[in-house]
Amino acid sequence: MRIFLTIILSLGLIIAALLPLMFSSCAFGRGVSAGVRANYGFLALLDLVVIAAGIWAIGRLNRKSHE
Amino acid sequence: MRIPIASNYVSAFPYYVNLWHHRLHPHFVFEALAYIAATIVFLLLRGRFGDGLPARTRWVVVATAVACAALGSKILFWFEDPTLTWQNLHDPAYLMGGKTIVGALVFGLAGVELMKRYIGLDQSTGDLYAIPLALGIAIGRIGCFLTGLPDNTYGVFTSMPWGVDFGDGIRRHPTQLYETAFLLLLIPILCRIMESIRRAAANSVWPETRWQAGDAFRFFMAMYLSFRLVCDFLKPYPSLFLRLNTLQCACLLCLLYYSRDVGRWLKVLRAQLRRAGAEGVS
Repeated sequence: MRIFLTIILSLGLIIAALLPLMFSSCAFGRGVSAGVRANYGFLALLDLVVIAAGIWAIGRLNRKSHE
Repeated sequence: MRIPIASNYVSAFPYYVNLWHHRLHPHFVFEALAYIAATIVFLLLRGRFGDGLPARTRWVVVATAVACAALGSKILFWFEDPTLTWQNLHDPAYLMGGKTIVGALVFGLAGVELMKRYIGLDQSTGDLYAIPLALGIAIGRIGCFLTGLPDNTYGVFTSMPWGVDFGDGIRRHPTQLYETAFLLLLIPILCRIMESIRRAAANSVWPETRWQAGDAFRFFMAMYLSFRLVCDFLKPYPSLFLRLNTLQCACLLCLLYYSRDVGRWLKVLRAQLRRAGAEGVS
């Protein structure tokens, strides 16, 4: 169960980490409105919080169980 | 790189990629290609050289490295030009827009080392990442080059014949392509180090005059950060300290961290030269 949880958490963490990198502002065309860009920015900031929480959780899950 | 149209000039940058009737931004395309290529090469290397870590621990290390690298790439970007960041504090699109590879590498390294200490792991974990990282950055930099001025990775003015005009009428050092060329040259050396480590691991002997486990990643980091330290003098970034910009300061700090390893590698190289000389005499 712990292995399964670690893998799921790791996959989620990797996806959450890659999202803000892949969609950096230069990947947007000039036609995108300022409102959309600002919304994207807030979502990306939220994503950073998820990443930080994910790192903490994955460390906690594997701390004492390492063989 | 200007395309003449009648008496006017139109910049070729950003050079959009047409894929299945879709016009895609070059940065997006090459960044995605870089991640895919790096993942495939990582899996191939793991198949060839094996992995000394249990699968679960490898997942923890990979996820921590990717997550800390993502955070670090943003954090160091904010400090790249602190004045500009301060002026754009209200603009989340600016704050989340940029990223730096140096920040990703330094924070990825720090994050994994801290996580290893936290979960009680004292084994080297980075060798399998060295070649995928070099290849991934080399591919990604092509996207940076094709993006042109908005990517902010171009060099300063040059009168050299290979100078590129990204659209502002100034011929600049294509520093992105210098980086790609450097990394492609580094990959064969990393392959030799990996082979050497594999042979030592097979014999279970780690003499001082041979490459040690973890050296492929350390060597990649030391070489890449040394390259960036020098190459960034060709970039128009604001200097922070002693004419060094923020990224160069981070490179220097990380190189200090590896200074003991560099001393050891010099011994390895001397021993290899001695062995080669002895073989030549006999």
